[in-house]
Amino acid sequence: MWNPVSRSEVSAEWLTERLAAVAERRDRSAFAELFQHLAPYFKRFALAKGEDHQRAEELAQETMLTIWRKAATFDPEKAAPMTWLFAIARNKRIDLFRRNGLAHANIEQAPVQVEDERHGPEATYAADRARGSIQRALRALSTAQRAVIEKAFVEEKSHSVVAEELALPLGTVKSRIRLALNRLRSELAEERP
Amino acid sequence: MTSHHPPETFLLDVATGALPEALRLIVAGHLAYCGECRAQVGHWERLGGDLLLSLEPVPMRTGALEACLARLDDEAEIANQDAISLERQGPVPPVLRPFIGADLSGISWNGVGGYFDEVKLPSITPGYRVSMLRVPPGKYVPEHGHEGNEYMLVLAGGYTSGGRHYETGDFSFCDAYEHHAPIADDGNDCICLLVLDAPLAFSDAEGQEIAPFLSM
Repeated sequence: MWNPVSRSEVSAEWLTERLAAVAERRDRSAFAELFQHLAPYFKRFALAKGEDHQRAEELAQETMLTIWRKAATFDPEKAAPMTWLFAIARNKRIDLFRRNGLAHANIEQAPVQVEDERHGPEATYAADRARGSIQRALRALSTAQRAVIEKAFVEEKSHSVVAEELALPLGTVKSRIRLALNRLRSELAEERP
Repeated sequence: MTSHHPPETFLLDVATGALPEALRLIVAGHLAYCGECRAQVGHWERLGGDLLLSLEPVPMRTGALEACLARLDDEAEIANQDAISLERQGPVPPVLRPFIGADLSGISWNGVGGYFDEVKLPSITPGYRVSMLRVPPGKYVPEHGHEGNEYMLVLAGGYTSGGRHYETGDFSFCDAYEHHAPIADDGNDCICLLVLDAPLAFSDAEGQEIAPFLSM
């Protein structure tokens, strides 16, 4: 199910241009293009997490509306568009399907308490900008490491649930996550300008 | 600069959205102080974005785009209300304000047996107890163990426990095997966000006295 070579034909620039058009001019045709490209991925993402078609459709719609609403908060200097879009989709799902009515912790938009130049968003994005390096990092993972990460993201399972389902000790799952993260970090560090 | 962080697996679970809300809250609070952990979550989110685009897209229903475009008009108003109006200034990170308010001095504390003050927050995840804790300068929380896990985020002041010192923004966690009696720094109240997934187990008489205040 997981193809480490991205199927998507669109570039970060394509997404960034359209997000900017939506933010600055409330450009409906740019939004329509984003919808046609992205909504089917959001729908698949929700289905993969076990939602039925009705809810998956609803979630994709609501995610797109949130993108319309929050496009102005996307800063291409601070994050890659897919990083931002992923966070929107994840939070929308938590928003829509959480059981209580309390506001939830909106990590992606909250101003931070302490800025940190060394690890600030710009530093992250300097690493982030490395085109294709994430794909390389993914390919560099062992099948076992990849299975853990895939379950975590696509099925949105916590590391303890992943451990149960793969019938692995929790410590093994934790060390695979750590190895995967180290691999990811070193791939990104190598690409840093 | 924070020096005590959540486990790495928590940062992954925050990025994937799998962390229970009560834990997400306290980790998000730490992220507001810690650039290093924000960067880690950013790496995972980037991976999540790439993973999302590697899935096989599923066509939306006929008319989905038109239905969505038709709703954009209603959005103008919502967008205005939604604008980020949160002030960066203040002792409470904006991400926590919907839960605990913007001002630590506005909290109505309940005294706990003369040792410290506490206020239990509305439950946001079944099985988790979320509260605010205020320990006066130089005072301590009586020695206790845990039947489950204890997570703490320092919002003001600092404390020492098990030979380690925790300051504003630091995250600590103890499992069922650890016993400790955290002592607040001299000078200022130590105010923490506390999340428990099981009751504390107090070891001695003074602890027994206050245990009822901390029921789940």
